[in-house]
Amino acid sequence: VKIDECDVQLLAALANLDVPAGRRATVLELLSGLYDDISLLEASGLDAEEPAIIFDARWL
Amino acid sequence: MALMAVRQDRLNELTIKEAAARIIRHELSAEELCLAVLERIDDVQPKIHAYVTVIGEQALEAAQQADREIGRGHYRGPLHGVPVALKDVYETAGIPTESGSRVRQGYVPLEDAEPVRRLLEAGAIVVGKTVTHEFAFGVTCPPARCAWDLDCVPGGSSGGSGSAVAADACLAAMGTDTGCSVRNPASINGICGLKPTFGRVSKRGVTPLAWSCDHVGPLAKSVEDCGIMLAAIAGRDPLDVTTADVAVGDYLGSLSKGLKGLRIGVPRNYFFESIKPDVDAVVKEAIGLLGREGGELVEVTIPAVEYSLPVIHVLGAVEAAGVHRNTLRVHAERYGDGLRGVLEAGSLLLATSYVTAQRARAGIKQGLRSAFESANLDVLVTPTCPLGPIAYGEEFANIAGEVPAPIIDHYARYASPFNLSGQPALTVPCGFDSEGHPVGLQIAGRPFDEATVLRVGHAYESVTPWHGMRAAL
Repeated sequence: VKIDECDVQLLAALANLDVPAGRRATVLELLSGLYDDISLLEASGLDAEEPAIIFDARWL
Repeated sequence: MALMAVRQDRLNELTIKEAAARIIRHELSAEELCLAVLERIDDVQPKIHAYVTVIGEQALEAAQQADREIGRGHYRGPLHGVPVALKDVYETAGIPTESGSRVRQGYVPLEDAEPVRRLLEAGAIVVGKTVTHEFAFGVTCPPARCAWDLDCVPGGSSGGSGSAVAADACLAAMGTDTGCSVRNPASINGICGLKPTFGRVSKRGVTPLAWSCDHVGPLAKSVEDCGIMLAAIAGRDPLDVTTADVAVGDYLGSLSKGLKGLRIGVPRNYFFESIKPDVDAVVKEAIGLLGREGGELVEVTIPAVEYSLPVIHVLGAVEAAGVHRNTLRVHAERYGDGLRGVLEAGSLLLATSYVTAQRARAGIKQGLRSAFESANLDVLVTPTCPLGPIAYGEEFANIAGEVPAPIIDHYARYASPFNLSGQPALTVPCGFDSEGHPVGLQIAGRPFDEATVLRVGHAYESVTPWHGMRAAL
């Protein structure tokens, strides 16, 4: 997933983070990787399930 | 190349069970045992760097107190007088708990974490705090070293605990496990490690990494010792809402029942992909032995499990960003570069992306459930890790010509599905790879059925020599 450096700045501003210029490339790369993961999950069909946000292991 | 040593029958080499048998017969005092462990720490710490804090004087006082209690006939059980170590994410009253980070430098809690309180109640003697990867988010744990190969990382994030137990610098230790962090360092260091069911053990007072995936559990020299540790810490904590109101099992009573009648699932998919061929061979030999010892081996396909890594990447980054939200804004410069980047990236993801990952997680959980239910499995057996320890400084590794992947992905690949499902999972040593490094067999069970997981592990251990082998240090 291609993420523009400006997007990172915008997202960082929205999240109230101050990501220094020298670190933006690192964060950009990590964020791209996470968006790749999300794209994979969206394509998997698994996102039809109810979210497991309130987690309980009593299922067997 | 790793070097192997033979047990010398030194006191610090005892398992919990062996030590307890001597203590209850008054053949061994808690003080003698504690002194032996502290001497061993002095000997090996310059090599393995497993501890961040050693509390020798305090431990000896506690051991003397234990001896007085035992002498008066007040024997608390198999942990009474037994020296243990704690990963430095467990809060300990009056003892620094820095979670491997400058962010927590100088932090001294006022109270013990609930698992620590329960261990102390059971009579355990805390000898020190062990090295963790920064905030338990990582698998290299500098400066700790693998007990079997000092040029290599100890695995993580409970790397100090793994290395300390393997080096006989404590009898057992506590770790935490969000994606692999008990089982990976246990496997890498040739010892046992148990991640209990989500909700089985309180996490109150343990620094969180990612709430919905975090577990706490023991690392020990034998399966039975894992059971002894679990018995001491298991059970609902009214002040930890993630703990479940489920009766605590009898973890030791069924240990010796053997494998007959148990259905042991062997995955066809995912768990034997992207694995070093020599590790693959060792694990398959171990599984074959389970069959020869009376277990019924059943091949199963597990739907959706191949999405475990993408899911845990997202959950880990976002939940950790939530944990560190305030300190990241105020003290970002105190974080290590690696963790800081992940926290920043996790802070920038959309909430809908987090929900997507939780929905996929529900699919993985359902996939594991259907595999267990359709084949009526008691346990599922897999490799713990696809490769052994890696050299310090390496960030990527490739397996059999594949595209190099981050070390953390290799180490979490087979372990993380059970953080997502919440099932109990144990690693037991099952041999050595071509470089002489230990290999682990993972045994995952039904939720809250740690007793069966331990039974299978104990049955394997009873007919193999691996858990008794020691690194040459």
